[in-house]
Parts: sequence; C-alpha cells; structure tokens
Amino acid sequence: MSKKIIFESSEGESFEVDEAVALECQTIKNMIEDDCTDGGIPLANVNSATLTKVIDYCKKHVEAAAAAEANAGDKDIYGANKDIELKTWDEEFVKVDQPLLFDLMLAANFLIIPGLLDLTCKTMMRGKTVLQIREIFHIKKDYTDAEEAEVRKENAWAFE
Amino acid sequence: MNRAENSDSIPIDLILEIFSRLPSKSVGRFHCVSKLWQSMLSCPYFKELYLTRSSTRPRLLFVVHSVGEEEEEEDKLHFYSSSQPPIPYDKSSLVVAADYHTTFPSERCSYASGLICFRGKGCSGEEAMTLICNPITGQYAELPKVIMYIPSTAFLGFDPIDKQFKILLEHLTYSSATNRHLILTLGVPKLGWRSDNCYPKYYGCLSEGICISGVIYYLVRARYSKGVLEIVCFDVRYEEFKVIEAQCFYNHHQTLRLINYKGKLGGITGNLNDSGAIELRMWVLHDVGKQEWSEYVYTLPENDDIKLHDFTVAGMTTRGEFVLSMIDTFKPFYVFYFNPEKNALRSVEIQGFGEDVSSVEVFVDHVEDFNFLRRESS
Repeated sequence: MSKKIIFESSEGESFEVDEAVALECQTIKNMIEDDCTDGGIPLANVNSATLTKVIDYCKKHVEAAAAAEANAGDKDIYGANKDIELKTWDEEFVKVDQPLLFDLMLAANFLIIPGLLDLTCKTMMRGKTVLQIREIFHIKKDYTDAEEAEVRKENAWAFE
Repeated sequence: MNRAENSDSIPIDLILEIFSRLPSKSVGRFHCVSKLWQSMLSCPYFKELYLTRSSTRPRLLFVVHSVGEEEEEEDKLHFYSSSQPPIPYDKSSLVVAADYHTTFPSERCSYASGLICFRGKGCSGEEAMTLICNPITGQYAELPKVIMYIPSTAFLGFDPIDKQFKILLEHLTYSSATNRHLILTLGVPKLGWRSDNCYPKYYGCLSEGICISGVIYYLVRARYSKGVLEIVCFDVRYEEFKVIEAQCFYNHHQTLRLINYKGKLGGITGNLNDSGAIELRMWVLHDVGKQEWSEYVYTLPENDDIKLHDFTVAGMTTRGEFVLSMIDTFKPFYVFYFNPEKNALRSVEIQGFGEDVSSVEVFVDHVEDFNFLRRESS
C-alpha cells in the first residue's frame, strides 16, 4: 500500500492521492522531502475543479511513465508509441474553457509542474491576436493609435 | 475566486514564463498589447530567459535563394525556419510548414550562433556592403566599408566566453603575396576593421566557414599548382590562426560540407556506392593538437524520397542525427534525418517556400534569439 497525500482545495474539499502522483509537483515534492505534509496540504489558491484536473494530469503522466518503463522493449525505432498516445491525451486534456485553462496554468506554475505549465501556456496563446490577448488578460490598451502603429511597425516581421 | 477575472493577480514572472515558451512571432506581435508588456518583452532578463528556453527547442533555419526574373531585379535571400521534429516522430511531423521571417537582397551568407553575415545592398546606398543581421527579427547593422577588387569571403564567428561576435574577412588582392585578413568585433561602440599580421598564406578558400566553440574553420587550397588541402582555424577570442593538414578531403572537396560533430570539426560528403546505396563518408578531427582525422562511413537505409534527388548534408543536430537536404528545389522539398546509431532514416516534407526558388540552404540547431550583437553577460 503506497503512502497517501491529502490535498485541500480552496473550498476546503479533501483530495487523497498516491504519493507518486503528488511527486509530479515539484513544490509538493519539496514539502514531502522536508516531511511537512502531515494533516494534509492546504492549497488556498487552487479550487476543486482545477485540482481535480491537475490530479488527473499527474495520474495519467505517472501511469504513462510506468507503462513506458514496463514495455521498454515494445518500441519502434524512434521511441515509444505510447508517447504519441500521451501527446494525444494531453491535447484532449486542455480542451476546456478559457477560465479553467487559466486556472490550470496558474496551478501548474504554483505547484511547479513543468509539463502542464508548458502545455497550458502554449494552448492559451496559440494563434491569438493582440485583441484576444487583451481580452483574456483584461488589459486596457494604453497606446494611442499612433503609438500602437509605431510599435507595430517596429515589429512588422512578426505580423507577416 | 475565479482568477481569470482579475488579471492583476497574475504575477509578472508567470507572464514571462508564458512568453518564453512561445514562437518568436507571437512574442513580436504581443509587443503591441500594452506599454507594460512591451517593456517586459524588451528587457534583458526576458531576452536571456527566451534564449535559454529556445535553446532547448532548436530549429532548422532555411535560407531560400531566389533569382530576380527581370534584369534589374536582384537576387534575394528569404529566411524561414521550422521545428526539428521531436523523437519519437508522430505522423503529423512528417510534413512541416516553414515559418517565414525576413528577406534580404543578397546571394549567399555566413552563419554563426543565430546571426547571418552577408554582402548585399544596405538601405542607404547602391554599393554592396557587408551586413550582419538577425534573420528572425530582421534587425541589421552595416559594417564599415572595405575596398576590394576580388570578391572575398566573410566568416562570422561567436566567442562563447566573452559572448562576442567577430567577423573575419579575407582581403584578397591580385598578388597572393599581399593577401591578408581583416577582423572586426561586433557590438562595440566604434566598429572598425583591423589587420592581423600573423595570417596564413593560401591560394583559395574551398568551403563555407563553420564556427564551433569559438573557432572558425574553413578549407583552403594551400598552393596553386599542387592539390594540397588545409583547414584554417581561427580562434575568435584570441584572434590566432592555426593551419591543419587536411589531405583526406582531396577528391571530395567539391561536395564537402564542414559540420559540427558533437563539438568537433567534421567534414562530410555523400555519394552513391558500388551497389547503388547512398553512402556518407565523414572525417572527424578528434584532437586538434595531433592533427589526426578519423574516418567513418555510413550506408543509408533505402528511402524512395532521397533516391530521386541530389542532396547535401546540412549538419548534425545536438541529438546526434545527420540532417540532409535536397539540392534541387523541385516540389515537394524534403529534409532527411539520419540516426547513425539506430540506422534509421526519416524524410520530412517542408512546405511554404513559395515560387521562384533557385536553391535552399539549411542550417541545423538554430536557436531563436532576440538579442542582437550584444548578449548580456550572465
């Protein structure tokens, strides 16, 4: 029986996970090494919906890593077919609405899950226009039209 | 609390983390979002972070040469890049769309550590001059003029210790006795060519230059009458020349390509062997001091795409795969990855170069960098 770690979401809900799954988060790994995880880990800035998804992600990646190790012989010449499956799983995983994606990104940053941070960042920004970015990040345009045209000209290479 | 509704709660560090993961074009575009973002994306800290991140996802840089159709129209170099497909390959990576970056009026160029050096027309005048540019952003600088009677080659080098780019220019004259080299350090307030007195004498340069770990290498013919081949090594930091015997390249120099073989200088050429298979022959200089070349021969596995075309070796990725590219530019255009350890050959089709392409040159392990000439010392 593996050791369990208990997370507590911002709503106070408890989530029990295997230690191996929790170790996917660098922040939690450090806490486990420092032996300060007894009585649960309160995550005041991660809500239940986000935490559920984060745990799903970590579980899947722990399982995939274990499976890859077990089937080390079952690979094509360039690597595991399993890796392609995992990539497809990741793509499905981030098909969520914008606010949840945003929360996932913040959680990945806070918990230090490099793979998830990478995945959410790229998904969030892919193919977005300047206007869409202002909307997502709630940024008011502080350029005058002339200033914006000037900056755009300086970076014309990026708009081609 | 829904954090997405409150953008003030996003730490700036996280915003920089996000941007460091994006393609260069997205970063360029998002300068227009706001003044704060513009200043964040221009700061040295972000440029260094981006460089660190992009070093982990090297790309192929394509220099696409197009010949002007009209008489007055000049030749142009168009720069594109594409991702180097990850291992394992998935099906989608077998066709890759190249991203367009910039165009400059020139015919050929020299490459080192993300920057390009070439002779071409500057924005200010008619005369050809030597330019240095960042092919991703199109930022460029004109170098002081040198009066030359014979077209000569400029080699670009990067010294990773002082983080400095330098240009080595052959200054050829009609009499080989008076040939010399000129050196210029980039990124300093006053650009100026200086002459080096201890330069090697040789008859003519036979290859492109390559810069590996702060040393520029290129193949030369030592004397006119005899087929004596040598490699000239120029230490970018100390500005010292050394000459290495390279007779092994005799009979191969026309198709030879100098490559970075795991940090060592390698010379490689591809030919058909007696049984009709493609054979790569490579010589590696394992020890510069001993001046000994080790020879390796690889026979490529069967591949229908490569069989029909002439190809050249573009280089070797840091992952240890040879990259081959087509010389002719019939569509479709392919690059090939050959993994010598697994004896595996994969072809990847590159799309998006447009029409009127006369040749494509490929550089491997290109790292996108927003710094231009001057890198922050870390």
